[in-house]
Amino acid sequence: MIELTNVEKAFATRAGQTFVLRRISLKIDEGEFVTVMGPSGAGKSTLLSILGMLDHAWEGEYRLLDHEVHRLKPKERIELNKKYVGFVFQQYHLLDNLTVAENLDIPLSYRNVKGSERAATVADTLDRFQIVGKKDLFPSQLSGGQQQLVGVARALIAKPKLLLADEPTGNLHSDQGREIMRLFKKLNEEGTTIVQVTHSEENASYGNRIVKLRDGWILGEESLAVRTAGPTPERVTP
Amino acid sequence: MAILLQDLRYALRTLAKSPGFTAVAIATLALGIGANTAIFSLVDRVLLRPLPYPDPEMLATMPRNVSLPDLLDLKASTHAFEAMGGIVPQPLDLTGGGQPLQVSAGLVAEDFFEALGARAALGRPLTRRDDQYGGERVVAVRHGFWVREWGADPSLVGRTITLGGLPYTVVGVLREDFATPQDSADVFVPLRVAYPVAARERGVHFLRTVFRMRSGVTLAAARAELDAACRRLAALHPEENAGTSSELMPLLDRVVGSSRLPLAILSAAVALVLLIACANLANLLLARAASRRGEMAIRTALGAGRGRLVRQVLTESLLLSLAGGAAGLFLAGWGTELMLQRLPETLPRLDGVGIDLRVASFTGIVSLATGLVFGLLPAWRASRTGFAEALASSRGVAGPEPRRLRGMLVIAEIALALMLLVGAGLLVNALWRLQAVPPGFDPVGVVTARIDLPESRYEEALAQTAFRRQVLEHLNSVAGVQAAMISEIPLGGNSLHHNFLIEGGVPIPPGEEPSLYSRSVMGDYFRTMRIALRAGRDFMAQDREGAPLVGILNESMVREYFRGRDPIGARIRWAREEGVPRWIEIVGVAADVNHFGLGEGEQPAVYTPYAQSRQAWKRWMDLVVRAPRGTPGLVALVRQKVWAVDPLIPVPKARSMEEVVATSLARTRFQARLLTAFGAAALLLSSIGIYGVMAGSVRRRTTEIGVRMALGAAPSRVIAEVLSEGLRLTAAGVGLGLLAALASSRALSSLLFGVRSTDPATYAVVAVLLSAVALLACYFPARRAASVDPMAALRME
Repeated sequence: MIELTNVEKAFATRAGQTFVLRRISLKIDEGEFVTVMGPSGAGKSTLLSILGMLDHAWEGEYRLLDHEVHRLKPKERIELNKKYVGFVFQQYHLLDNLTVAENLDIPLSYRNVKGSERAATVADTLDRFQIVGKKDLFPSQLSGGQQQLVGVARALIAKPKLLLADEPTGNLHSDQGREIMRLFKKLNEEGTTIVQVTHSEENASYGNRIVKLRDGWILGEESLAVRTAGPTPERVTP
Repeated sequence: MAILLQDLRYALRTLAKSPGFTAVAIATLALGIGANTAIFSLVDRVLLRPLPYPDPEMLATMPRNVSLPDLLDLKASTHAFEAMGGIVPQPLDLTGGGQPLQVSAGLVAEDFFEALGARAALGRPLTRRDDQYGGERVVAVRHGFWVREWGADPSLVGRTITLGGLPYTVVGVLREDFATPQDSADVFVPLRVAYPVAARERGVHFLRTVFRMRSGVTLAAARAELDAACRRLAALHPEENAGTSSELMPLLDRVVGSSRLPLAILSAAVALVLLIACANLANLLLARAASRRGEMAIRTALGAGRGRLVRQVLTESLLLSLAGGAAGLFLAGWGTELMLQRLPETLPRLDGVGIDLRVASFTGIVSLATGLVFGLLPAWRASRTGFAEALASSRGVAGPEPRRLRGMLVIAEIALALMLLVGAGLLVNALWRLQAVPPGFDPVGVVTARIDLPESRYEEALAQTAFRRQVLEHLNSVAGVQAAMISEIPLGGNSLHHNFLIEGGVPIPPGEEPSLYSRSVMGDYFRTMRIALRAGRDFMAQDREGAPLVGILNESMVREYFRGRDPIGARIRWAREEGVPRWIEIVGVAADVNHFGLGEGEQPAVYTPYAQSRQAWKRWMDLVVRAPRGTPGLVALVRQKVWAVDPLIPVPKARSMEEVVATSLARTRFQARLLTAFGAAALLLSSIGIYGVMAGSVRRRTTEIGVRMALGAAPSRVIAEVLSEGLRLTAAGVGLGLLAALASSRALSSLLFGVRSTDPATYAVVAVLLSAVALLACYFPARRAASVDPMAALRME
């Protein structure tokens, strides 16, 4: 599904170029649940934004399904993003001025979905995530876990093939975090490809592969045995 | 459409969530747009609207007045015009009702109404057939006057009213929308019927012309033809027409001519206020865009394209500008009322100044343009958010503010404000200097009233003299009262000049004689007005009818025509007088007065006794009555004494001489006041601007300031650092503004008096004032910076 070849990103500074990502080559198959780990400044979030086609200033090759992203113009990349990608953030990033239902509606409206269709999709999603009772509340009226639930629902409402999550449980109580991770697992089992960035070994254990980054380089990968649930993974070194 | 409504709903909600920002933005725009709307309502009415006549572009006039014989000759020798007419404004007495009333009459000649395309609501307007010597006395009445005086009684048409002591038959009431191009008139009478003596005189240039060009004739072609006709006229009648110009001009230009420059300056000034307000709005939006980078990044991540983001932010700025426009419209309504109360009477076409659909449309367009133009840059910047960077900002690190851009906007604001303040400062300076000009007489405690004697009962000079003498006797018999009269009071806006010859001077061809202003007086005029006598004697009781003619010159006359010679005993006479020359012996020299306007200097003039005048047509006079301050009922006393002599003479509203002086300054005062108000608004807006930028700077540097204070920086040092940053912006703005003011203030030159447009003192005072206010605006953020708790600031990080 995803193939990165020698992807590099650098900033020009007075001292010369400062690399954020170096020669990243990575393959992710459809249906995988990949975790990107590494210390702060390793380039994890940058990699995520390149995968999500929100960062256009990089070099190398990036293929998504049958699209050669590196050959596309920024506007075309945004279109691909709309078609295939959903985002979940550590800070939930719900729009404060919008109600739960309106937050769910926004990605559809950006995709020019017709009003009646949008209303039906929003109603379905509210139902699916069991947040119908909260549809008219504003984000500030929800708990952290509830906000992240809405964040995930919003990321999925446009039925993306690829879900990108940046520290999705970083701000949550551990029980709430586990619930979100179980939800991710379930979505992955239903066919959504997921790439998450996390510091948490426990969260990583829900996925089937870990990509380790440091100083912009890929240090190595670990495959995890497929499990249906549970916090202690069995590591398999490739 | 649904998406647009959604954008609108979200924008409303977003703005409602930041009431402080929203209120400041709306108030800023309301001030800028409101001031522009108020001035536009004035400019639109006075300058932009076409004249209220059919095909107004076909109407033309001459910049000078002409006599009726000249008008008839021009009419006979040109073909470019389908109708030519003229009007002479003159007061007439309306009697027969309650108190005698002085009304403004228009003495109309030839095809005046036809040229204007005027129609009657009742009966008919006057036509050329009415304007015949010895013709029937007929009158047409203005609609508003008909409503006011006769309660819109339709039976007025056909009835007889008494004007100037003579019966006139009302033949029509003009339509409600009819107004004369200049000097509104309540009644219209035929010139040749009402004033045959003057109508016959080729030398009496009193007709304001109105020409309607034939369809298809251009102004240039009509001008060429009229020019040729005027040249022939000058050759045929050099005594009356030598050296007169004949430039044909659009009628609108003559009506609004002198108002163009002051209104253009006010429009430019108010546009500067709007620019400053817009710079403030852009600054506020930029700061807001910086604080919303996270939100924009999320929207991008959710699939929003740049166009969509720009549209969302633009929707907000448009909503703000429309709300500002609505508030501005409200402010303008109030401001226009206020302005109308203070407008100088000399400004033409003020009827109907106010907020109407046209003005509201202007406000709407300005609001939309403001929101679009000044919202676009912040919207574009907001949409340009880098994703990773914005995610960082959403983790609590404030996004970088566009410091340079915001700094530049503040510099521009200060520069614009300085330009405006320099303009206001120069005008205020000129006003002060004008007010300090001694008028040449003492206006304190003097009341003046204009009286016109009706021709029917005062056709002869003797009757006029008897009336004048009796009125003055009655008034002077009151203890403590000094009364006199003059044909034209100083600063009253009226004057009359004559060609003259000095006895023993070199022969001068007819038509080329020099001219002086002639003023008739009666009573102890110079003592009443406290005008100093520089040489010779005052008029005495024996300087009356039948006695040798005497005159008193003013100093300007002596300077110009008696260089180094003693004028006392010299003799002058009117040029081209028929019959035996009537020499006037000069018996005195009076000090100059500012007759035409404070600061405008005096022109050569002669004062002669009313009693010795043979100018029976000069039936008007201005009474000047001095009484000790606090004398009760002086106006009533004047009226009572005039009516004691003739109860049918109207005594219109009397004015104090101080009021006359003040009125003569009305235009300068109005401009100075308005420009000062705009300058104050500019000062306020630019100080809000610099405050906003400095507050943003302090907010952004809170951590840095915290670190500095943790390292031992004293609060005073922190304050000094913030102030010096503000000072740099202020200095740049002031420098730029001074250059711009130097370049632009030349436009004000013709409105100034006693002060050059480059007056260093005005520039210095304005620069210091603006810098002080700007520094004060910086002081509050600086104090906040100095009160930063280092530990709290570092924890934020």
